[in-house]
Amino acid sequence: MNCIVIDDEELSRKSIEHCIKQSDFLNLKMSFDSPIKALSYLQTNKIDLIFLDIEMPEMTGIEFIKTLKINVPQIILATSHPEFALEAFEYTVTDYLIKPLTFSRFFKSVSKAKEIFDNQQSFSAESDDFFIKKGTSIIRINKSEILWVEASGDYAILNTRKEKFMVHSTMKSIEDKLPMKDYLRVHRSYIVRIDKIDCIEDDAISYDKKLIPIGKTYKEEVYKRLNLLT
Amino acid sequence: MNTSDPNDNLKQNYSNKLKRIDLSYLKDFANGDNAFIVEMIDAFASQTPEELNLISSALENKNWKTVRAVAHKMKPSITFMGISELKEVVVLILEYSSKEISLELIPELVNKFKTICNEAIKELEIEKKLYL
Repeated sequence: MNCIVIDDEELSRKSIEHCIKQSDFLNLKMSFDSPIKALSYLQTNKIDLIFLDIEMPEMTGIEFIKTLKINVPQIILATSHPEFALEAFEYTVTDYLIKPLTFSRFFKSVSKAKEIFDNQQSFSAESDDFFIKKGTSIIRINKSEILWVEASGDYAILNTRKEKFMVHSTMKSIEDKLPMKDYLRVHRSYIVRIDKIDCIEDDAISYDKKLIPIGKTYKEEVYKRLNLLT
Repeated sequence: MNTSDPNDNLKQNYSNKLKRIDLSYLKDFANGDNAFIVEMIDAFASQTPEELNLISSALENKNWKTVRAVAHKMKPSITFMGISELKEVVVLILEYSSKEISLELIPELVNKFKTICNEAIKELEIEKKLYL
């Protein structure tokens, strides 16, 4: 998990960094003495977990949380004021640590964060929906609506019954996101939805009015996957 | 039979001389990482004089908000360096400056704070050599 530390006090920062280094699933990306600097960093970097001090001069940890809108990372608050912990519950924070820290308490917190992180990871692979950029908007499409995917240079074209969506992606990464029990890679440039196949003739799949070739290297695997009654 | 290491005596005498600091929490926390102990001592020694200047000038200007903010910010370092005498001093400074009560007592507390910090830094410079 990629994480950052935000704390205006140097020794506090160093002590959290020290704990992070001892937790092998945590990867410290940056440490900030000011939440303002962290905000601009977060605009261009994907972070999974933030260790956040509450009382800082320019902007408090709570104010910082309020500015986060999209892709909000998990947050673990660190404070020397136990009374702030109550307010923290109004915001979705993973946990809060009371300073002075101990490694065992720290580890308990980050283990909880790791568990949530792992759940989110598997959820995104298993989720039924895709979010796709179309022009200036981002739209949701259900994965089952995708009939076939065609590679086109650095792009993949997702074909639904109604329309086509062009996404900047490799075929491999599309394969990783689709439920491959329902789909089949039939060619270097094609993935098809198995239950929409009409017929196969001369190693080409007839799909509505479209013919999709079956690649030589994929042939054996394709025929194995199809429930062929002979 | 008592075959105590003569070094133990030396260490004991040495520790007895440490009046202000107690690094047991820091040592525990470091979990065998001596470089971390040195790093923390260095950070304390370099940032504390700046903080002390800041609190002194805030005091002169009767800027209680800054007095409070600086005292608050120094709390973690005081804990790490185990300067137990300072804990109470800081609590009082925080209490008086935030509520703006007993303000006439703050200068004396800040003086005490500075004296103890400076002594602690001297002790830390010697103690640090054990971890280099």
